[in-house]
Amino acid sequence: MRRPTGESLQRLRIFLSNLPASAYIFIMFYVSIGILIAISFTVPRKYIVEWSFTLENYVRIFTDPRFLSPILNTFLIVTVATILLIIVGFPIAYYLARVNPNLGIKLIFFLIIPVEVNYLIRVYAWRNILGENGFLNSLLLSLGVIDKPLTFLFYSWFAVVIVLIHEWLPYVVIPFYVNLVGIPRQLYEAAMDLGANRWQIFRSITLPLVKPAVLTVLFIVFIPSLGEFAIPSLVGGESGIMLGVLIDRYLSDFRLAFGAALSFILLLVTMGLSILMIKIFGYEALYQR
Amino acid sequence: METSRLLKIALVAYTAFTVGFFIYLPVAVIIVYSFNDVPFFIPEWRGFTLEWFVKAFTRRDVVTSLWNSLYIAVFTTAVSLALAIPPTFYVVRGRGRVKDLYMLYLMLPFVIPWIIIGVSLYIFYWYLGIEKSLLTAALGHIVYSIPLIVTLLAPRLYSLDPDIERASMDLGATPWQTFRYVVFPQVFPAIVSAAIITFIWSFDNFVISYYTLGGELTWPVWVFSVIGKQRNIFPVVMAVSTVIILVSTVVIAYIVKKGYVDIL
Repeated sequence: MRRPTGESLQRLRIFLSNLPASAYIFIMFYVSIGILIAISFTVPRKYIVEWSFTLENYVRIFTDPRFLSPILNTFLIVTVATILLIIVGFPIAYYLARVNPNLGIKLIFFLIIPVEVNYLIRVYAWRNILGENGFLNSLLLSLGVIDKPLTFLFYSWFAVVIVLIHEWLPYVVIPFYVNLVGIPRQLYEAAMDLGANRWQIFRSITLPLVKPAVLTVLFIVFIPSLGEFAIPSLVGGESGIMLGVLIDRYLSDFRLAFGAALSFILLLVTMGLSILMIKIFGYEALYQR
Repeated sequence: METSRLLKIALVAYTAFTVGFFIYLPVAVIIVYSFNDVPFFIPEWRGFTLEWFVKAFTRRDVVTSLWNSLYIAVFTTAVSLALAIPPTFYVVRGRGRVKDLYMLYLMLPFVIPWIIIGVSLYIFYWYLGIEKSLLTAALGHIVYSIPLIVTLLAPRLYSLDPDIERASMDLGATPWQTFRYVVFPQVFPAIVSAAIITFIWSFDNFVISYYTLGGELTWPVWVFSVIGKQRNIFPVVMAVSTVIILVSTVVIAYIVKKGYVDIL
């Protein structure tokens, strides 16, 4: 039995219980982003903000190749890394989910262990593997394959891609695994009964049904990596420079207006891409597992 | 079927190589060379030592940074859980356009790169004249942790039957009692796994801490501040990492074994 006020009381309760989180996000995220956007339209000054409206920062960014090329570089590197991640990670998830389900959970556990080491330290370990005096070079030198150390392995966009793949691989395998495990076996059996071959089954059942995992990967790997700055600044060198490195350069130089403008561009691009991805994959894909 | 056996063998070999070699290579390097008797990193073995472990845990800056990370991670996890659980219910149970918009409102901090949160809070604190500290960094972590927890808990809540809660209320339980004795036991494993992930992400977070910390550093920020500059610091960093791997593996294995978490 509901009392007459039940409905509105219920609503009030929902409103009040959601209020703390909503207010928190509003102040700490939306208000602070608002300030960032406002500052990005002010005259570039060091250490101070001069409140007069100008588009100067944006004009400079879009006309100067010194800014455009790192922005394009960011997309190139992150896109290549994401595609490679899916190519490298999908077979592992497929193996665990379809071929050897008993091993599944255990191997997922083993995938998580390396993530426990902070990624900055893993980046540094890569430096000792790929760097000029690293393992790979000393191995190749001692085998006589090369006669001087390979330098493109490190301080290059190649190193950034390798490190990104290493950082994110578990986060790619797990969503695909969860997704593949969730596909009912009967679907495959029905397809086989109807005479479909392996490739047809893969193409018309597996591929369409892993869409949610692809979306998850794009959201937890592609989008965050666009703002990466520690990896490119540690291992990227000149060819591996990314937008995040630029933002940090201006911010640590306390040229806030310019750093804010670069950040706002990154924000707009990632929001645009998010909306595009949801349009392509469908809103429901976010909820499905 | 011959082809399917071949495919299986190929997949086994591939998985073994990628996980065993590629994924574990840096980790193996870190663990093995944290015992190497050389005060910097070189790719050759010069004998076993525990010196770096002793050094690591007697250095004040190292120990303090680890405690600071722990403090921030615990604070972030506790506050974010308390804040995020009610919106998760609303996102799962609510209907209509208002809910969809609210979902977008809540999720936005999660679908943009962390550097934007870091930079905007850096400017925000500076503009309001708030002095940066461990607390301001934790407050930054909470911004992305709220939508993170919603994302992790929502799929689990979908499988709850609201009728059970209605039955509990009809039998005279208050909303709090219903949550405590009916809902909470059902979602407990999901809450534990959400808490673990939130904790690990916060403990490991670099970019937000980097922009929102004051003079006291967390572990990742401390590592970033010394790693490129001091050649002889890497053995110490490797030793701490080895301990972190050991401790967290034992803890996670224990929690998984006890069945507190459902990863999937």
